[in-house]
Amino acid sequence: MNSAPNPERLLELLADQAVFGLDSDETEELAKLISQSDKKDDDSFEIAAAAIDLSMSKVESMPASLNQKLLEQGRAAIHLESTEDNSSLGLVNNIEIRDRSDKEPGSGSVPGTPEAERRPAAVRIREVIAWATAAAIGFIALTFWNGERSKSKKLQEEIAGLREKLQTPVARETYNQLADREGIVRWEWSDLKGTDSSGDVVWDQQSQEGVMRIVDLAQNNPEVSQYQLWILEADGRKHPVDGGVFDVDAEGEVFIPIDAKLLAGKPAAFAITVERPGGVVVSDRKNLPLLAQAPDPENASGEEE
Amino acid sequence: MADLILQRIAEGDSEAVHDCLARFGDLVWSIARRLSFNNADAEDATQEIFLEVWKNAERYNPELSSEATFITMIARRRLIDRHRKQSRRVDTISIDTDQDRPSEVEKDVIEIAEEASKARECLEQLRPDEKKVLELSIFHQLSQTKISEMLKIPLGTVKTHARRGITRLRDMLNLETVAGGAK
Repeated sequence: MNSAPNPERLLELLADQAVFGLDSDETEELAKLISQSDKKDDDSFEIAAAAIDLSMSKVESMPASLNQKLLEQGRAAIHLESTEDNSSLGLVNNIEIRDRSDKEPGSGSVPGTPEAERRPAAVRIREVIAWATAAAIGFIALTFWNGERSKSKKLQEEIAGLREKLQTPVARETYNQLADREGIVRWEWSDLKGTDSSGDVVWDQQSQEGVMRIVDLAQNNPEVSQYQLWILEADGRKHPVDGGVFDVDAEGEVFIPIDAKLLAGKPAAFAITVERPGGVVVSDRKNLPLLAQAPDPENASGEEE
Repeated sequence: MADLILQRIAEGDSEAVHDCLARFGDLVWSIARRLSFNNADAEDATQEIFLEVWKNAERYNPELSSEATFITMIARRRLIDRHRKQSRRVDTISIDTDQDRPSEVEKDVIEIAEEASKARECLEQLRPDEKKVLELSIFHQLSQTKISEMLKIPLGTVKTHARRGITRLRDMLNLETVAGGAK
Protein backbone atom coordinates (compact mmCIF):
# COMPACT_ATOMS: atom_id res chain seq x y z
CA MET A 1 0.00 0.00 0.00
CA ASN A 2 1.19 3.50 -0.65
CA SER A 3 -0.14 6.95 -1.19
CA ALA A 4 1.63 7.65 -4.46
CA PRO A 5 -0.67 9.18 -7.04
CA ASN A 6 0.38 6.56 -9.56
CA PRO A 7 1.41 3.36 -7.73
CA GLU A 8 1.47 1.26 -10.91
CA ARG A 9 3.96 3.60 -12.51
CA LEU A 10 6.04 3.59 -9.34
CA LEU A 11 6.25 -0.20 -9.46
CA GLU A 12 7.10 -0.15 -13.16
CA LEU A 13 9.96 2.24 -12.57
CA LEU A 14 11.26 0.30 -9.57
CA ALA A 15 11.21 -2.87 -11.67
CA ASP A 16 12.87 -1.15 -14.64
CA GLN A 17 15.50 0.36 -12.37
CA ALA A 18 16.40 -3.05 -10.98
CA VAL A 19 16.49 -4.79 -14.35
CA PHE A 20 17.70 -2.22 -16.88
CA GLY A 21 18.58 0.95 -14.98
CA LEU A 22 16.89 4.25 -15.64
CA ASP A 23 17.74 7.24 -17.79
CA SER A 24 17.84 10.69 -16.25
CA ASP A 25 14.19 11.48 -17.01
CA GLU A 26 13.00 8.22 -15.51
CA THR A 27 15.27 8.71 -12.50
CA GLU A 28 13.71 12.10 -11.95
CA GLU A 29 10.24 10.67 -12.35
CA LEU A 30 10.99 7.89 -9.88
CA ALA A 31 12.40 10.31 -7.32
CA LYS A 32 9.25 12.38 -7.61
CA LEU A 33 6.95 9.39 -7.21
CA ILE A 34 8.96 8.11 -4.25
CA SER A 35 8.77 11.50 -2.60
CA GLN A 36 4.99 11.34 -2.93
CA SER A 37 4.85 7.80 -1.61
CA ASP A 38 4.95 6.61 1.96
CA LYS A 39 7.38 3.89 0.90
CA LYS A 40 10.80 5.49 0.82
CA ASP A 41 13.01 2.47 0.96
CA ASP A 42 11.76 -0.25 -1.34
CA ASP A 43 14.84 -2.32 -2.16
CA SER A 44 12.84 -5.42 -2.97
CA PHE A 45 13.18 -5.33 -6.76
CA GLU A 46 16.90 -4.67 -6.60
CA ILE A 47 17.47 -7.39 -4.04
CA ALA A 48 15.60 -9.78 -6.35
CA ALA A 49 17.73 -8.69 -9.31
CA ALA A 50 20.90 -9.06 -7.24
CA ALA A 51 19.82 -12.55 -6.16
CA ILE A 52 19.24 -13.54 -9.79
CA ASP A 53 22.60 -12.13 -10.74
CA LEU A 54 24.22 -14.11 -7.95
CA SER A 55 22.38 -17.27 -8.90
CA MET A 56 24.00 -17.23 -12.33
CA SER A 57 27.38 -15.85 -11.36
CA LYS A 58 30.64 -17.67 -11.41
CA VAL A 59 33.55 -16.10 -9.65
CA GLU A 60 37.10 -15.78 -10.75
CA SER A 61 40.09 -14.48 -8.87
CA MET A 62 40.69 -10.78 -8.65
CA PRO A 63 44.16 -9.59 -9.70
CA ALA A 64 46.43 -9.43 -6.68
CA SER A 65 47.49 -5.86 -7.49
CA LEU A 66 43.87 -4.70 -7.47
CA ASN A 67 43.21 -6.53 -4.24
CA GLN A 68 46.15 -4.75 -2.63
CA LYS A 69 44.96 -1.38 -3.93
CA LEU A 70 41.46 -2.01 -2.57
CA LEU A 71 42.87 -3.09 0.76
CA GLU A 72 44.79 0.18 1.08
CA GLN A 73 41.85 2.27 -0.08
CA GLY A 74 39.45 0.49 2.25
CA ARG A 75 41.69 0.87 5.27
CA ALA A 76 42.28 4.50 4.36
CA ALA A 77 38.57 5.18 4.07
CA ILE A 78 37.80 3.49 7.38
CA HIS A 79 40.74 5.14 9.09
CA LEU A 80 39.63 8.55 7.92
CA GLU A 81 36.03 7.97 8.90
CA SER A 82 37.04 6.69 12.30
CA THR A 83 38.85 9.95 13.04
CA GLU A 84 35.74 12.01 12.60
CA ASP A 85 34.78 11.60 16.23
CA ASN A 86 38.08 13.03 17.37
CA SER A 87 37.48 16.51 16.14
CA SER A 88 34.75 18.76 14.97
CA LEU A 89 37.02 21.35 13.40
CA GLY A 90 35.58 21.86 9.95
CA LEU A 91 38.75 22.59 8.06
CA VAL A 92 38.56 22.62 4.32
CA ASN A 93 40.84 20.26 2.45
CA ASN A 94 41.91 20.04 -1.13
CA ILE A 95 39.98 16.89 -1.95
CA GLU A 96 36.66 18.62 -1.68
CA ILE A 97 35.14 19.50 -5.01
CA ARG A 98 32.02 21.59 -5.02
CA ASP A 99 29.04 20.07 -6.72
CA ARG A 100 26.11 22.25 -7.56
CA SER A 101 24.51 19.79 -9.90
CA ASP A 102 21.01 18.72 -9.03
CA LYS A 103 20.56 16.39 -11.93
CA GLU A 104 19.92 12.68 -11.81
CA PRO A 105 18.76 12.30 -8.26
CA GLY A 106 19.44 8.83 -7.05
CA SER A 107 21.77 7.96 -9.86
CA GLY A 108 24.28 5.48 -8.60
CA SER A 109 22.97 5.70 -5.10
CA VAL A 110 22.34 2.81 -2.85
CA PRO A 111 18.67 2.00 -2.78
CA GLY A 112 16.67 2.36 0.31
CA THR A 113 18.43 5.35 1.67
CA PRO A 114 16.75 8.46 3.04
CA GLU A 115 15.76 11.33 0.81
CA ALA A 116 18.84 13.33 1.65
CA GLU A 117 20.98 10.49 0.38
CA ARG A 118 19.29 10.18 -2.99
CA ARG A 119 21.99 12.17 -4.70
CA PRO A 120 24.67 11.22 -7.17
CA ALA A 121 27.02 8.74 -5.60
CA ALA A 122 30.06 10.79 -6.52
CA VAL A 123 28.75 13.71 -4.56
CA ARG A 124 28.10 11.60 -1.50
CA ILE A 125 31.43 9.82 -1.69
CA ARG A 126 33.23 13.10 -2.10
CA GLU A 127 31.38 14.59 0.81
CA VAL A 128 32.17 11.67 3.05
CA ILE A 129 35.80 11.53 2.10
CA ALA A 130 36.17 15.29 2.21
CA TRP A 131 34.42 15.55 5.53
CA ALA A 132 36.29 12.67 7.07
CA THR A 133 39.56 14.04 5.79
CA ALA A 134 38.71 17.46 7.11
CA ALA A 135 37.98 15.92 10.47
CA ALA A 136 41.29 14.08 10.35
CA ILE A 137 43.13 17.27 9.51
CA GLY A 138 41.26 18.98 12.32
CA PHE A 139 42.51 16.30 14.63
CA ILE A 140 46.03 17.00 13.43
CA ALA A 141 45.59 20.69 14.12
CA LEU A 142 44.33 19.94 17.60
CA THR A 143 47.24 17.63 18.26
CA PHE A 144 49.66 20.21 16.97
CA TRP A 145 48.42 22.92 19.29
CA ASN A 146 48.66 20.50 22.15
CA GLY A 147 52.38 20.54 21.59
CA GLU A 148 52.76 17.08 20.08
CA ARG A 149 54.51 18.41 17.04
CA SER A 150 56.41 15.35 16.00
CA LYS A 151 53.39 13.13 16.29
CA SER A 152 51.36 15.67 14.40
CA LYS A 153 53.81 15.75 11.52
CA LYS A 154 53.82 12.00 11.29
CA LEU A 155 50.05 11.87 11.35
CA GLN A 156 49.84 14.62 8.79
CA GLU A 157 52.04 12.62 6.45
CA GLU A 158 49.91 9.59 7.08
CA ILE A 159 46.72 11.48 6.29
CA ALA A 160 48.29 12.93 3.15
CA GLY A 161 49.13 9.42 2.05
CA LEU A 162 45.64 8.17 2.78
CA ARG A 163 44.13 11.09 0.96
CA GLU A 164 46.21 10.34 -2.09
CA LYS A 165 44.96 6.77 -2.10
CA LEU A 166 41.39 7.97 -2.17
CA GLN A 167 41.84 10.89 -4.51
CA THR A 168 42.17 9.01 -7.79
CA PRO A 169 38.93 7.00 -7.66
CA VAL A 170 37.04 10.02 -6.36
CA ALA A 171 38.44 12.30 -9.06
CA ARG A 172 37.72 9.66 -11.69
CA GLU A 173 34.11 9.49 -10.62
CA THR A 174 33.86 13.28 -10.66
CA TYR A 175 35.38 13.29 -14.12
CA ASN A 176 32.75 10.82 -15.32
CA GLN A 177 29.99 12.83 -13.75
CA LEU A 178 31.19 16.09 -15.27
CA ALA A 179 31.69 14.50 -18.68
CA ASP A 180 28.14 13.29 -18.52
CA ARG A 181 26.69 16.73 -17.92
CA GLU A 182 24.85 18.21 -20.83
CA GLY A 183 26.86 20.70 -22.84
CA ILE A 184 30.21 19.83 -21.27
CA VAL A 185 32.96 19.34 -23.82
CA ARG A 186 36.32 17.63 -23.49
CA TRP A 187 39.47 19.63 -24.06
CA GLU A 188 42.06 17.26 -25.41
CA TRP A 189 45.66 17.66 -24.35
CA SER A 190 48.27 18.37 -26.99
CA ASP A 191 51.66 16.96 -26.12
CA LEU A 192 54.19 19.74 -26.64
CA LYS A 193 57.23 17.73 -25.59
CA GLY A 194 56.84 14.68 -27.80
CA THR A 195 56.43 12.30 -24.89
CA ASP A 196 53.17 10.74 -26.07
CA SER A 197 51.26 12.08 -23.11
CA SER A 198 47.56 12.49 -23.73
CA GLY A 199 44.20 12.85 -22.02
CA ASP A 200 41.68 15.61 -21.70
CA VAL A 201 40.03 18.11 -19.40
CA VAL A 202 36.39 18.42 -18.49
CA TRP A 203 35.41 21.80 -17.12
CA ASP A 204 32.08 23.19 -16.03
CA GLN A 205 32.30 26.95 -16.25
CA GLN A 206 29.17 27.56 -14.23
CA SER A 207 30.15 25.51 -11.22
CA GLN A 208 33.90 26.11 -11.75
CA GLU A 209 34.52 22.41 -11.42
CA GLY A 210 36.90 20.42 -13.52
CA VAL A 211 39.01 17.32 -13.63
CA MET A 212 42.06 16.55 -15.74
CA ARG A 213 42.55 13.08 -17.19
CA ILE A 214 46.21 12.66 -17.98
CA VAL A 215 47.77 9.61 -19.57
CA ASP A 216 51.46 8.79 -19.46
CA LEU A 217 52.77 12.09 -18.14
CA ALA A 218 56.16 11.59 -16.51
CA GLN A 219 56.09 11.09 -12.76
CA ASN A 220 57.61 13.99 -10.86
CA ASN A 221 59.63 14.14 -7.68
CA PRO A 222 57.69 16.61 -5.50
CA GLU A 223 60.87 17.65 -3.75
CA VAL A 224 62.36 18.77 -7.06
CA SER A 225 59.43 19.98 -9.12
CA GLN A 226 55.66 19.91 -9.36
CA TYR A 227 53.15 20.27 -12.11
CA GLN A 228 50.93 23.33 -12.11
CA LEU A 229 47.74 23.87 -14.07
CA TRP A 230 46.85 27.23 -15.59
CA ILE A 231 43.51 28.34 -16.97
CA LEU A 232 44.05 30.81 -19.80
CA GLU A 233 41.04 33.04 -20.13
CA ALA A 234 39.61 34.07 -23.47
CA ASP A 235 39.03 37.69 -22.60
CA GLY A 236 39.85 38.03 -18.98
CA ARG A 237 42.87 38.73 -16.86
CA LYS A 238 46.29 39.23 -18.35
CA HIS A 239 47.74 36.41 -16.32
CA PRO A 240 46.20 32.94 -16.39
CA VAL A 241 44.33 31.62 -13.37
CA ASP A 242 46.27 29.24 -11.15
CA GLY A 243 44.52 25.87 -11.42
CA GLY A 244 46.50 24.25 -8.65
CA VAL A 245 49.71 22.35 -8.11
CA PHE A 246 49.72 18.60 -8.43
CA ASP A 247 51.95 15.56 -8.66
CA VAL A 248 51.89 12.61 -10.99
CA ASP A 249 52.81 9.64 -8.88
CA ALA A 250 51.55 6.77 -11.01
CA GLU A 251 52.07 5.39 -14.45
CA GLY A 252 49.34 5.40 -17.05
CA GLU A 253 46.10 7.25 -16.47
CA VAL A 254 45.60 9.65 -13.58
CA PHE A 255 42.72 11.93 -12.67
CA ILE A 256 43.46 15.29 -11.05
CA PRO A 257 40.77 17.63 -9.74
CA ILE A 258 41.19 21.26 -10.81
CA ASP A 259 41.59 23.60 -7.89
CA ALA A 260 41.10 27.08 -9.37
CA LYS A 261 42.41 29.68 -6.96
CA LEU A 262 40.32 32.46 -8.47
CA LEU A 263 37.01 32.55 -10.25
CA ALA A 264 37.99 31.69 -13.80
CA GLY A 265 36.45 33.50 -16.73
CA LYS A 266 35.63 31.87 -20.05
CA PRO A 267 38.65 29.68 -20.75
CA ALA A 268 40.59 29.67 -23.98
CA ALA A 269 43.00 26.93 -22.98
CA PHE A 270 44.38 24.88 -20.14
CA ALA A 271 48.11 24.55 -19.74
CA ILE A 272 50.30 22.42 -17.53
CA THR A 273 53.71 23.72 -16.60
CA VAL A 274 56.54 22.25 -14.56
CA GLU A 275 57.41 24.51 -11.65
CA ARG A 276 59.37 24.50 -8.43
CA PRO A 277 57.78 22.68 -5.46
CA GLY A 278 54.71 24.56 -4.27
CA GLY A 279 54.19 26.24 -7.63
CA VAL A 280 54.60 29.84 -8.69
CA VAL A 281 52.38 32.90 -8.85
CA VAL A 282 53.33 33.72 -12.43
CA SER A 283 54.81 31.11 -14.72
CA ASP A 284 57.46 31.81 -17.31
CA ARG A 285 55.97 28.86 -19.25
CA LYS A 286 59.42 27.63 -20.23
CA ASN A 287 58.55 24.06 -19.40
CA LEU A 288 55.08 23.43 -20.72
CA PRO A 289 54.44 19.75 -21.50
CA LEU A 290 50.68 19.80 -22.09
CA LEU A 291 48.25 22.29 -23.55
CA ALA A 292 44.53 21.86 -24.15
CA GLN A 293 42.87 24.36 -26.42
CA ALA A 294 39.16 24.89 -26.89
CA PRO A 295 37.72 22.00 -28.90
CA ASP A 296 35.21 24.39 -30.44
CA PRO A 297 36.04 28.09 -30.33
CA GLU A 298 32.35 28.93 -30.43
CA ASN A 299 31.76 26.87 -27.34
CA ALA A 300 34.93 27.35 -25.42
CA SER A 301 33.24 27.87 -22.12
CA GLY A 302 32.40 24.22 -21.77
CA GLU A 303 28.83 24.91 -20.87
CA GLU A 304 25.50 25.83 -22.27
CA GLU A 305 24.53 29.37 -21.61
CA MET B 1 25.27 -15.09 8.73
CA ALA B 2 28.07 -16.23 11.00
CA ASP B 3 30.02 -12.99 11.15
CA LEU B 4 28.78 -9.73 9.78
CA ILE B 5 31.72 -8.22 7.99
CA LEU B 6 29.81 -5.15 6.92
CA GLN B 7 28.82 -4.43 10.49
CA ARG B 8 32.48 -4.59 11.52
CA ILE B 9 33.36 -2.21 8.71
CA ALA B 10 30.63 0.15 9.85
CA GLU B 11 32.13 0.03 13.34
CA GLY B 12 35.51 1.10 11.97
CA ASP B 13 37.28 -2.26 12.17
CA SER B 14 39.90 -1.82 9.46
CA GLU B 15 40.77 -5.53 9.56
CA ALA B 16 37.26 -6.22 8.30
CA VAL B 17 38.35 -4.69 5.00
CA HIS B 18 40.67 -7.62 4.50
CA ASP B 19 37.92 -10.10 5.38
CA CYS B 20 35.47 -8.34 3.10
CA LEU B 21 37.85 -8.46 0.16
CA ALA B 22 38.73 -12.07 0.91
CA ARG B 23 35.12 -13.10 0.89
CA PHE B 24 33.56 -10.79 -1.70
CA GLY B 25 36.47 -9.40 -3.71
CA ASP B 26 36.36 -12.11 -6.33
CA LEU B 27 32.60 -11.85 -6.58
CA VAL B 28 32.63 -8.10 -7.21
CA TRP B 29 35.54 -8.41 -9.60
CA SER B 30 33.70 -11.10 -11.57
CA ILE B 31 30.53 -9.03 -11.82
CA ALA B 32 32.54 -5.96 -12.79
CA ARG B 33 34.44 -7.89 -15.43
CA ARG B 34 31.29 -9.37 -16.87
CA LEU B 35 29.60 -5.98 -17.14
CA SER B 36 32.61 -3.90 -18.22
CA PHE B 37 34.16 -3.31 -21.60
CA ASN B 38 37.65 -4.40 -20.62
CA ASN B 39 39.83 -5.22 -17.64
CA ALA B 40 40.90 -1.62 -17.05
CA ASP B 41 37.29 -0.55 -16.93
CA ALA B 42 36.49 -3.44 -14.60
CA GLU B 43 39.30 -2.36 -12.26
CA ASP B 44 37.96 1.20 -12.14
CA ALA B 45 34.46 -0.10 -11.52
CA THR B 46 35.61 -2.44 -8.76
CA GLN B 47 37.29 0.44 -6.94
CA GLU B 48 34.17 2.55 -7.21
CA ILE B 49 31.99 -0.31 -5.98
CA PHE B 50 34.10 -0.93 -2.91
CA LEU B 51 34.19 2.78 -2.11
CA GLU B 52 30.40 2.57 -2.05
CA VAL B 53 30.56 -0.57 0.07
CA TRP B 54 32.82 1.04 2.68
CA LYS B 55 30.59 4.04 2.86
CA ASN B 56 27.29 2.19 2.96
CA ALA B 57 28.26 -0.71 5.20
CA GLU B 58 26.24 0.73 8.05
CA ARG B 59 23.07 0.53 5.97
CA TYR B 60 23.28 -3.21 5.63
CA ASN B 61 20.30 -4.96 7.18
CA PRO B 62 20.76 -8.74 7.63
CA GLU B 63 17.00 -9.19 7.79
CA LEU B 64 16.63 -8.09 4.19
CA SER B 65 19.44 -9.95 2.44
CA SER B 66 22.75 -11.66 2.80
CA GLU B 67 25.90 -9.57 2.67
CA ALA B 68 26.70 -11.03 -0.74
CA THR B 69 23.35 -9.90 -2.12
CA PHE B 70 23.71 -6.45 -0.58
CA ILE B 71 27.14 -6.03 -2.11
CA THR B 72 25.91 -7.37 -5.43
CA MET B 73 23.10 -4.83 -5.29
CA ILE B 74 25.60 -2.01 -4.80
CA ALA B 75 27.78 -3.42 -7.57
CA ARG B 76 24.88 -3.65 -10.00
CA ARG B 77 23.79 -0.11 -9.26
CA ARG B 78 27.24 1.25 -9.93
CA LEU B 79 27.79 -0.87 -13.03
CA ILE B 80 24.41 -0.08 -14.55
CA ASP B 81 25.17 3.60 -14.05
CA ARG B 82 28.60 3.27 -15.64
CA HIS B 83 27.24 1.14 -18.45
CA ARG B 84 24.54 3.66 -19.25
CA LYS B 85 27.03 6.54 -19.34
CA GLN B 86 29.50 4.64 -21.47
CA SER B 87 26.84 3.34 -23.83
CA ARG B 88 25.98 6.92 -24.58
CA ARG B 89 29.49 7.41 -25.88
CA VAL B 90 29.98 4.03 -27.51
CA ASP B 91 27.44 3.14 -30.16
CA THR B 92 28.28 -0.50 -30.53
CA ILE B 93 28.69 -2.61 -27.48
CA SER B 94 30.01 -6.04 -28.02
CA ILE B 95 28.70 -8.31 -25.35
CA ASP B 96 29.76 -11.84 -25.87
CA THR B 97 27.85 -13.88 -23.38
CA ASP B 98 30.74 -16.30 -23.03
CA GLN B 99 33.53 -13.80 -23.33
CA ASP B 100 36.89 -14.95 -22.05
CA ARG B 101 35.82 -16.16 -18.68
CA PRO B 102 38.52 -18.49 -17.46
CA SER B 103 36.60 -21.59 -16.47
CA GLU B 104 39.53 -23.13 -14.64
CA VAL B 105 39.32 -20.61 -11.82
CA GLU B 106 35.56 -20.31 -11.71
CA LYS B 107 33.68 -21.46 -8.71
CA ASP B 108 30.03 -21.44 -7.93
CA VAL B 109 28.76 -18.47 -6.00
CA ILE B 110 25.87 -20.33 -4.41
CA GLU B 111 27.99 -21.12 -1.39
CA ILE B 112 28.25 -17.47 -0.38
CA ALA B 113 24.65 -16.41 -0.79
CA GLU B 114 21.66 -18.40 0.20
CA GLU B 115 19.34 -16.15 -1.79
CA ALA B 116 21.22 -17.15 -4.90
CA SER B 117 20.18 -20.75 -4.52
CA LYS B 118 16.60 -19.76 -3.82
CA ALA B 119 16.61 -17.30 -6.71
CA ARG B 120 17.82 -20.00 -9.06
CA GLU B 121 14.92 -22.23 -8.05
CA CYS B 122 12.47 -19.37 -8.45
CA LEU B 123 13.90 -18.43 -11.82
CA GLU B 124 13.10 -21.91 -13.08
CA GLN B 125 9.49 -21.37 -12.17
CA LEU B 126 9.12 -18.32 -14.41
CA ARG B 127 7.69 -18.53 -17.90
CA PRO B 128 10.48 -19.22 -20.42
CA ASP B 129 10.15 -15.81 -22.08
CA GLU B 130 10.27 -13.99 -18.76
CA LYS B 131 13.26 -16.02 -17.66
CA LYS B 132 15.09 -15.36 -20.92
CA VAL B 133 14.52 -11.61 -20.76
CA LEU B 134 15.71 -11.46 -17.15
CA GLU B 135 18.81 -13.49 -17.91
CA LEU B 136 19.74 -11.25 -20.82
CA SER B 137 19.03 -8.04 -18.96
CA ILE B 138 20.27 -8.82 -15.47
CA PHE B 139 23.13 -11.17 -16.14
CA HIS B 140 24.33 -9.84 -19.49
CA GLN B 141 23.11 -6.27 -19.02
CA LEU B 142 21.70 -6.09 -22.52
CA SER B 143 19.49 -3.11 -23.28
CA GLN B 144 15.81 -3.48 -23.95
CA THR B 145 16.43 -2.67 -27.62
CA LYS B 146 19.10 -5.32 -27.98
CA ILE B 147 16.93 -7.93 -26.31
CA SER B 148 14.07 -6.95 -28.61
CA GLU B 149 16.33 -7.44 -31.62
CA MET B 150 17.83 -10.63 -30.33
CA LEU B 151 14.56 -12.33 -29.41
CA LYS B 152 12.64 -10.69 -32.26
CA ILE B 153 9.88 -9.46 -30.03
CA PRO B 154 8.49 -5.91 -29.68
CA LEU B 155 10.16 -3.55 -27.23
CA GLY B 156 6.98 -3.28 -25.22
CA THR B 157 6.88 -7.04 -24.80
CA VAL B 158 10.45 -7.01 -23.49
CA LYS B 159 9.45 -4.47 -20.85
CA THR B 160 6.37 -6.48 -19.93
CA HIS B 161 8.30 -9.74 -19.57
CA ALA B 162 10.97 -8.03 -17.49
CA ARG B 163 8.51 -6.32 -15.18
CA ARG B 164 6.33 -9.38 -14.71
CA GLY B 165 9.32 -11.63 -14.23
CA ILE B 166 11.09 -9.52 -11.64
CA THR B 167 7.83 -8.89 -9.80
CA ARG B 168 7.04 -12.61 -9.65
CA LEU B 169 10.55 -13.33 -8.43
CA ARG B 170 10.30 -10.67 -5.80
CA ASP B 171 7.06 -12.21 -4.62
CA MET B 172 8.47 -15.74 -4.65
CA LEU B 173 11.44 -14.60 -2.60
CA ASN B 174 9.06 -12.93 -0.15
CA LEU B 175 10.98 -9.72 -0.53
CA GLU B 176 7.96 -7.53 -0.84
CA THR B 177 6.83 -8.07 2.72
CA VAL B 178 10.31 -8.24 4.18
CA ALA B 179 11.58 -5.10 2.50
CA GLY B 180 8.32 -3.26 2.93
CA GLY B 181 7.92 -2.91 -0.78
CA ALA B 182 5.38 -0.69 -2.34
CA LYS B 183 2.24 -2.44 -3.36
